[in-house]
Amino acid sequence: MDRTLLILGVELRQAFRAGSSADGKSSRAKRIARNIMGYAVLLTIAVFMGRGAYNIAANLSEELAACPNVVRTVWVNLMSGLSLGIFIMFFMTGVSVVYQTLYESGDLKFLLSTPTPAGSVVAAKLIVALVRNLMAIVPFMYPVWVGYGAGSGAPVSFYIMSLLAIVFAALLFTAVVAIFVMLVMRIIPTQKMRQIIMIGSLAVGFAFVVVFQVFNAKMARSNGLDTAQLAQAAQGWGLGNTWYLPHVWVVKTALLTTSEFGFSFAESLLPLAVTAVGAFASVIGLSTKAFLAGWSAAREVEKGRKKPNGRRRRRALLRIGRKVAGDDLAEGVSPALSDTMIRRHVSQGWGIFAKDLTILMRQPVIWYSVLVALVASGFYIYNMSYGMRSGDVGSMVGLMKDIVLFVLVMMSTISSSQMAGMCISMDGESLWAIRSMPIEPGTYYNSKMALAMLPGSAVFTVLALAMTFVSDLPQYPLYVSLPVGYAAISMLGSIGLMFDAIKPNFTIRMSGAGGPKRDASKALISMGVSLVGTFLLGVAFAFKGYYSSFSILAGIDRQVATCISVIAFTAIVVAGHVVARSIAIGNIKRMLRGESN
Amino acid sequence: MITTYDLTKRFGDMLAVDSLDLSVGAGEIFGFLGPNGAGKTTSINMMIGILTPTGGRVELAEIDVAKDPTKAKSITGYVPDQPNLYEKLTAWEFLMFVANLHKVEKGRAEKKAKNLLEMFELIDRADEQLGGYSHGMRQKVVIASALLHEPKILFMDEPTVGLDPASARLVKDILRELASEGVTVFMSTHILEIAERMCDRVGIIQKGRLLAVGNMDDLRQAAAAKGAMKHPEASTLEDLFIELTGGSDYAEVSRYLEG
Ligand SMILES: Nc1ncnc2c1ncn2[C@@H]1O[C@H](COP(=O)(O)OP(=O)(O)OP(=O)(O)O)[C@@H](O)[C@H]1O
Ligand SMILES: [Mg+2]
Repeated sequence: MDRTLLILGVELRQAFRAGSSADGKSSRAKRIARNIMGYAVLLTIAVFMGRGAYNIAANLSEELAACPNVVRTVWVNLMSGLSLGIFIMFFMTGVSVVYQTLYESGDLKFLLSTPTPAGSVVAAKLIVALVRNLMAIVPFMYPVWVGYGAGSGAPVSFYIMSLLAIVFAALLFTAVVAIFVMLVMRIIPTQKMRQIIMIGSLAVGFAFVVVFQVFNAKMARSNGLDTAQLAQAAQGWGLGNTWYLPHVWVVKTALLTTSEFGFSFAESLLPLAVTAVGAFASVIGLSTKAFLAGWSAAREVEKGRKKPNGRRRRRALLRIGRKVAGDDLAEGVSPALSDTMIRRHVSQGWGIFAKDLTILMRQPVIWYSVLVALVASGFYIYNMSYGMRSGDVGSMVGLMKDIVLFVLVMMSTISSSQMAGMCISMDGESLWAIRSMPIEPGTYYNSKMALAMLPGSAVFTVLALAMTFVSDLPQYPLYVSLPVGYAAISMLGSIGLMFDAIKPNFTIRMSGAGGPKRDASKALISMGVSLVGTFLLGVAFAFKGYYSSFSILAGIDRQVATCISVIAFTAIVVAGHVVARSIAIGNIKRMLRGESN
Repeated sequence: MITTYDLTKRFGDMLAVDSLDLSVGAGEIFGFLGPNGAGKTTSINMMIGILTPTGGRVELAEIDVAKDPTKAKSITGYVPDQPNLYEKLTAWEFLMFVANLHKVEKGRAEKKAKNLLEMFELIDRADEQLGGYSHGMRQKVVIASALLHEPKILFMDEPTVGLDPASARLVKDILRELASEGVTVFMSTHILEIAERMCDRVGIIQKGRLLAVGNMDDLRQAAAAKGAMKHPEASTLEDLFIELTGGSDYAEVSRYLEG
């Protein structure tokens, strides 16, 4: 126990010092200012989300004041959607956090060489993973709950209970994933199989959670919006038949002290806390048997066949005298080396891009996030098509097209912003090589930009095609939606890239024995900014669809309005690119020259 | 080929490199010695333009490193003190990546890379990912990558660390060969035997200040001028090094060891 605390203390100190380099170049004031700015952006996002939630909740209570049962049912369903959202977000970002913290932390080699029991090490690392997972989720989720709470007049204890519920949810998720990963690492013999099984089953788990949600949503809809039926369903607050699901425990825990719901301790906090703590204890118990072997297995690299090498070395040595690796040395002796795409064109930009792509394709985490992105997108398309058909689209066809398009853009940017946020950081593994070579900052930026755009554009292309051929929602033809989507994704990618250039995190190692010290606030800010960016782009592009509902603008001619939409959209894209590019290149230049920032 | 003017680096209050004035000619092998933390790596990093000096400047073959870093970097090869590599790339891919960044023509790069891998006995494992390489193997890959584009100036920060005796010997042979072809070699090392046998001139740095520079005779004179060397004529580089960088500390150590 005290060793666990000791390790945690060291981790904490490291985390605090992570932002401040020993280098004297950037002044303390500047660093503090930058931190304050980061927190301010974070706070703005939180307030933004909280206010939105507050408004919805306040409106709901006001409009449906006559039938409190309905309000409560809607309220519970929204909450349960949110808490499911928490688990979905965990699945998207939390799995790699758990794996990397447990198996790829740089200090594990040292810790395991000391007489510290594996249980203490694992306990400390698990808590670190828990905190990282929480930090990635709380700033987004908690404000929404607080907003709902304030809007619906919940008691003070609600705020505490909902935070407690989130913490337990994170603990449960972290511990269960840890158990799973540990077992796979221990039992499955080869590295490749381990990765396939781990990625495959987690993606299936994720799909399961999502499909279950679709199923639920469908059932809720088939109930119709008949008030009487709703009131009937509200008898069990709509959650009675799913008492065994963790996200239901989370909702009930949050609402445990809100008396009008009347949830009991035994159906909320008790199962949640017991399973979470039980899972945590199982991880510790399991670690003495499974951790060390699994950890060393994680560091294996697949080997090709080994051929004996005879006297070649001697011959080579003898020839050194004449010329260093001259042209006459190895003809006919060298075995064929595999072709690599890095060599396809001799250009610096391509070299960097192809190198990054080669590395990424070997990164299991990437494949996991691609799978998750596709499952999530499939779910949204399905849900959207279903929801829209049953609702009345009617006069809003124009606006519908824009909404459909920008929801797709948003889905795609999530994967792109993740990628953009580590484009430059990933060179930390071998930064000296990048720095010591004759690269212009612009070339470097362009190739990273291509990389940042890649996953988002790929996902977007798949989604746009799927929408066109599968769904009967009103939508733009591909020759409009594709360019608009790519333009939006490229701008959002450049903003993500800019954030990574401003504050690259060179301690993340894509692979091997590095400490994956994720910079949670940077990821959040960049995600928040790209959400806001998507929103702005959408508002600009959809101008032609909604302008007539504002009385001042109603007189504008339709074609003029379309022009305004296109021009505004283009202007935002161009401006975003120009600003992000110039800031990023300035930072890259300093990075290449080794100026500290 | 390498000239530094008043080169200085501060980390906070600490003066890591203090007004370094050095000049190394073409085809020369220059050895850079000094105790741990003396400022060797910091100096080299400033010379190749991957660390911005607090003051002073560096010229490589008449190119001002601060003004045109890209051009300066295109004629240098660099072996860092730590062989950190992209763990998910194979040795072959890494060399091809480096060749691309130096714009080495395709056929030439492949031939050259194959030859280098062969010399370092890595050719049979060139298709394996670098994450599975041992420390010495990585060091060899890094050295090969620095030679790939036939640089005019080679900066090597402790190049033989982790190499087996035969490979260390190979590196020494390569450096001699390159120097005879006119390549300038600037290397830091803790192995005095290498410095003594290979380097045309040696510089000794301590706490950021250059204590002495020159060939063995120059160093002897410097040591003699500094204090009472008993037999200036007979002393080895080791004696000179210890004399110049703080013989008194050393004397204390031996007193401690003797009890
Ligand atoms: N990024 C940095 N921030 C703060 N101080 C630094 C930094 N890099 C180096 N130093 C300090 O500068 C001094 C010189 O370090 P340097 O790495 O150049 O030593 P060195 O001569 O290469 O030593 P070694 O023989 O151990 O490799 C040391 O005191 C070190 O603590
Ligand atoms: Mg050093």
